[in-house]
Amino acid sequence: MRKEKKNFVVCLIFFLIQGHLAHSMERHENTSLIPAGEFLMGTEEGTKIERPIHKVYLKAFRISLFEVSNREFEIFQPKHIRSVRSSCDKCPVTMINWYEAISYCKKKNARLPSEAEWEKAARGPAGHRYSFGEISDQSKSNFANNFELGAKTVKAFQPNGYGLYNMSGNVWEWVDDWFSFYAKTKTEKLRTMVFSEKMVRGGSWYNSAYYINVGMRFKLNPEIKLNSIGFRCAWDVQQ
Amino acid sequence: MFGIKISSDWNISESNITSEEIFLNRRKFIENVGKLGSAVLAFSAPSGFLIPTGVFAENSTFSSVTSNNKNNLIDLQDKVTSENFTSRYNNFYEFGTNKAAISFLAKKLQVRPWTIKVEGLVHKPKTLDVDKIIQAMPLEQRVYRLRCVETWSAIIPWSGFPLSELIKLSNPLSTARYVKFKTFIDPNIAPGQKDRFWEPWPYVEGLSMPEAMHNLAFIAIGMYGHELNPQNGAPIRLVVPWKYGFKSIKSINTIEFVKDPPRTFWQTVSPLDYDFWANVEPTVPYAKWDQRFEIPLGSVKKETTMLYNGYAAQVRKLYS
Repeated sequence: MRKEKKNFVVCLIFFLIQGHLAHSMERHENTSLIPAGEFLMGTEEGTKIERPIHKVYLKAFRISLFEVSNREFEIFQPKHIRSVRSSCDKCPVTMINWYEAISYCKKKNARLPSEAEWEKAARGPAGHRYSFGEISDQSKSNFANNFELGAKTVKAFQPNGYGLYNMSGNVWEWVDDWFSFYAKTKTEKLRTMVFSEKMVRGGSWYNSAYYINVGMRFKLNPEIKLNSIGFRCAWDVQQ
Repeated sequence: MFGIKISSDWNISESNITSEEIFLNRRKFIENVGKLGSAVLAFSAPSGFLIPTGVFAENSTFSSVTSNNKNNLIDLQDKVTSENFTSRYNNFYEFGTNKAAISFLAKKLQVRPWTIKVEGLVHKPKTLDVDKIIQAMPLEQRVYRLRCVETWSAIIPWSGFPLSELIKLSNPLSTARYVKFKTFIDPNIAPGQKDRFWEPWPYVEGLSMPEAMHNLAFIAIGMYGHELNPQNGAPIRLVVPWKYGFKSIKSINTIEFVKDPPRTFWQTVSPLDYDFWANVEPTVPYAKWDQRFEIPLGSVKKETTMLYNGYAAQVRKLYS
């Protein structure tokens, strides 16, 4: 009897550990670890909202290799209506607002990446202008196409140096931050306080090279749903 | 100075719309263009540019132009549009949606140097400098009604040349069925392209080849006797008076000859509201507006909108 009890406890511990490991592995499956460190954020090629280029230190974090797909999102929200421009199971989910994006990530014990995290991850270890490199190249990403062509699957094209897919092009991605200027003059600081827009990054299949430059910033009311805006999740890393 | 050809029945009397100051500005503008034209004549002739007779003719005067200028379609007494309105109430979404702010915001648009790419179904793709195009064209003045889909209207004196001349210069293949026009894309100077990032920039419009070759289809380089203002589409724009104003694309930088109807900006943005043709048809509600009436800029009184904006006699055949 005593031996049976002991075996039961051992088995229980074993299954608990296995479950935790499995959960942990599941969490880290299809993610990339972005190491702690500084990177250069911003671009001189944009407007005053992208300037100045400045150093940002970030702790290590994980970020999804892929944009969240329709199939993944609809497990969480079965009533989601797909856009005809991104309609396949493995196509990125669109027509979701910022609030729906963070809700999904929370269900995954995750969050949306901050703007800085998104940009660091998109630039890759080499700090590129586009996620695929320095030179605009339509063979490497889904951009500058006709609107009718729509999004491609979340695994389309080659990943960047961190293993991430479609950071430039395919669909825009919501990030966590409210809009604010990088450089805050007194006036800008005051203006920042009344802004009520979240940031989106990365451009989409029908946007020109300007928009897929990963340093470019765009802002939007978080309640708006568009057929070209999706998202991906990020995770904190225990130090 | 060059001769200005205005003789057709669709032309609206300039004497009804032009102040003395504007007239004097016009003379200066025309003289300047004429001087440029003389300078480029040696260049343009061997390269196949069209050099129509009369462009560089001597002794052409504004009075002789206006004396031939009869408007047989509509009595425009008391219906003139002041440039104060047409230059300060503008749709140019590249610069935002506030009509009153466009004239200020569009000042950032650098209109020189400016080139136009000619591509698609052509014998030889090329990039043309806008000034060289202007200097090679048979410049003339035309006074057209403009009808905005938003149900306001204006009467504007344009300077420019028939679109058909630019098409001849482009030398399209016989397989070309449509002409696609594009404007610039530069979100750093055009806040509308930055703030409305989800729109399918650049702005695209199109015409069928028969429409583009029609005598009324016009390329404007000036208005009210001076060069186009940035907010009005400088340095070069389309004017298609029988269609809603959004078809008359501003600040053109690409002309592409294509086989199929190009998907236009507004068709992409709102396909249920906009079609490719966008002819002014007052009995057919268009976009979200009842199109039976219009309010001329500067007026508070509604007027009845005419079929094809008053140009039915000239263009009806295109659609029959």
